[in-house]
Amino acid sequence: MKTGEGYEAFTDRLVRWLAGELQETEARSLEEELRSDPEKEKLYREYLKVWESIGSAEEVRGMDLDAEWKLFEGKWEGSRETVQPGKVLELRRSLLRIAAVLLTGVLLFSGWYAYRQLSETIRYSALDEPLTVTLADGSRVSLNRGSELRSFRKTGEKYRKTILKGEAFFEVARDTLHPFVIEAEGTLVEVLGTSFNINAYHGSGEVVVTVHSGLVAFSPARDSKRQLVLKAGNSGKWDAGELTLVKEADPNTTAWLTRKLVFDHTPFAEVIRTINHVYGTSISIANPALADCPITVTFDDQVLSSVIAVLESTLSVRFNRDGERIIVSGEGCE
Amino acid sequence: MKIREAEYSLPDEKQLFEQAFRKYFPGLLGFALKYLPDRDDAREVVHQVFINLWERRSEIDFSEPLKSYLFTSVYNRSLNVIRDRKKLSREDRIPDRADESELSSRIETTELEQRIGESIAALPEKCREVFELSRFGGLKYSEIAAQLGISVKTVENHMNKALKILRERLIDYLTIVVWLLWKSMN
Repeated sequence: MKTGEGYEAFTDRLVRWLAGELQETEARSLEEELRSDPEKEKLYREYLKVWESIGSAEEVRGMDLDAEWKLFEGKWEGSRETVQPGKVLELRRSLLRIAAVLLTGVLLFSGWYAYRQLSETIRYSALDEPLTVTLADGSRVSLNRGSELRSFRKTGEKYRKTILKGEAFFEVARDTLHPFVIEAEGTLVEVLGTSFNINAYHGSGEVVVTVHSGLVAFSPARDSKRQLVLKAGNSGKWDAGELTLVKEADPNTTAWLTRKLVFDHTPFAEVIRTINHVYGTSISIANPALADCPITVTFDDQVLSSVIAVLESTLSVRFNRDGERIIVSGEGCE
Repeated sequence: MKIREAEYSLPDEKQLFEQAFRKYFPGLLGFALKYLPDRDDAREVVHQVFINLWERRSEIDFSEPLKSYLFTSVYNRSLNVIRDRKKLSREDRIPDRADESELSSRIETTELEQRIGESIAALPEKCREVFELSRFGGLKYSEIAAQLGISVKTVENHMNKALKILRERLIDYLTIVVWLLWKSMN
């Protein structure tokens, strides 16, 4: 940095490079400069870190584009003027213009896309219904309602990195050279190739990891010394700074995905909590005397109405709809 | 005859419009979500931009790329929504409806994201606008210049300034976070 251009001129070019404004030859000469000047390389690393940490806006994937178009079409039709025959020519012209613009857009976009491919972030979100997606490495992830997963695909990087908000069931494709890492509400989960469920809804302050197959390493993001290694059937729980191992995991952990429910002398209040989680309902119990009544029953992918019918006859209670909510009334048990 | 021609030509234009919607909607929604965490708000902004595009299709200068027009419009409308909200909450302080705030609080930002958000918000206004259109919208300098009515050189200056300030504010913090992550993985 002692000879040639000063910092200022160099960072100008660096910024243009980050923004995708440099021609290929310019970019190549910049890269060569970096290799020969460690000071410039340090600066480059810092700028790149800042640029990448801020992140571009991610395309929202996993949305139902047909439904989005229908939704918009309704609004659009309402606002649309009726076209007079006299306007035909003008329409034709603007039609051609839109066509030309679309083409330019496609070309511009594909160039930009190719450039940005090296560090692509994909965001998946499930709104009202669970959503199953396949990531670039072949791993399958099912997201529960109101959950979001971001996956960072970077060529040549050691880790397959993702960030989870909410709950998801992972079936990670085996790749021992590239560990799969999930960051969820202040915890890190690292695996090579297994299946497991993570429940990390924001605001609950709790993260529960339940393993179905293989081994999973679970630790607080800021303190890797406290690490739990979980085996199939185990759960790890992170709550208020405490990391605990639960040897026998709740059998209903993935019921939100499979709708397979197992209750064995389970208190009614807990049954209702689980059903609310699995079916996205808000059912509450009117009579506190019902809360502790033990329930033993299994359901295999039943619709909500049959689940309710079975519970009504088992416990002699009534499920009454009150707008969005459902209220359970009844006498209580002996 | 003329009427039949109109009926015939209409679907094509609508199809092109639908094509544009399908192509840009996912990106524009993601862009709007950077500013409006509530998905319904973000969707509404993008809808308004497309309705406006349709209504003004004979006036708009399509020699500029459609993409930059759409992103700039979403940007401006998103900021309008934020400004109106601020005004409203200062005057009335209407409590949020529980169901509306639920999703946005679930998808709340992590500490790092918050730090980044604050640093961007602290940039001078024009500087921030240019930076966000480049980084979040993926627009080229020339597209930003055309949309904002400034020169490419000015865009470049704003970008340099933005990155300089952001680096000063974030680099120490980023180094620590990355180190912690690395450490916890090894």
